[in-house]
Amino acid sequence: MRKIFIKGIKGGTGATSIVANLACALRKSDEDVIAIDLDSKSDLGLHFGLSWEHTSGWSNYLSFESALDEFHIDDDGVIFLPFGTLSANTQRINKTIESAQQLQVNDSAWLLFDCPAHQEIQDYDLSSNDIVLEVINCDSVCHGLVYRRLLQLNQCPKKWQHYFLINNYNSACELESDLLQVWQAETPLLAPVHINKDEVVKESTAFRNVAVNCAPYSVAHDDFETLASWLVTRAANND
Amino acid sequence: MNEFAVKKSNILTQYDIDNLLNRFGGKTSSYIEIVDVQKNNQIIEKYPLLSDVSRSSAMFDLSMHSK
Repeated sequence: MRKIFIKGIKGGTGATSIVANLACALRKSDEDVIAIDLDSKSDLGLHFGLSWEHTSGWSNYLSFESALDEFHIDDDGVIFLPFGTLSANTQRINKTIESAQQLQVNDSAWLLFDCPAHQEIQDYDLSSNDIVLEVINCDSVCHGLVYRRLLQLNQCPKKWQHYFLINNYNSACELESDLLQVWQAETPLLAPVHINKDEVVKESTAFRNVAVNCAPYSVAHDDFETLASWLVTRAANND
Repeated sequence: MNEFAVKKSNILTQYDIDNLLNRFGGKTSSYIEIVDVQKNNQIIEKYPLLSDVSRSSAMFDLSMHSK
């Protein structure tokens, strides 16, 4: 099972949209995909067509095993599990991650976790094959946070594969263009792909869907396909 | 006297790339990464926050290798 943890380096970077679009892009390549919402705002399901009234999820159950009825499947075959309405501490979240790995799926299935920005990645029980995508935007705040994170990673015994993934990149903005150039040249752990700013990502969410489905000829579609291909290659290297 | 027309272009030709490979090594490599260090430094100097981060982080070795 291939585990990808996706979290924003700060709130509002678009991590949940990336989880949903990446899940669909992988699914379109006939991969088995399970997306699990670990964020208490519990909005991952909206991208997969879950109704707004549906609020329950795994946090509303005493154990992961009793929450199996909360798994949903979207029109493309992506299996997803909403967070729900109750809060969950780090121990409970780690228990959910551990239990998800016991699901009866094939070895090459993808397990995508939508992680909250406020939770430290070090809090999760990660192994050397786990991939963490920390989502960043091309702005100066993220620049400062990236270098702060690099210092943290430098000091902790890093066991997982950490990457910074640029989302919402606007090449028409001088600052963003400057930052991208500097990051690509000097910043360690920058993912070799980035997601360009594309309005279809927002628009497709309004239709309770994802850009990969709604706009097959969009820039976003191509970007998410590229991201999925890169991850498939990375995972193959791990295998 | 001959006057030669000079074409100014930022696009590298295969000849330019071969020259760079010969000069800096990696002749057998099919991939070459060109970094404009001077321009990057100018960008960093342009923004006070970036200069601040650059100065502070220069004290640490941030080189990390992904698997």
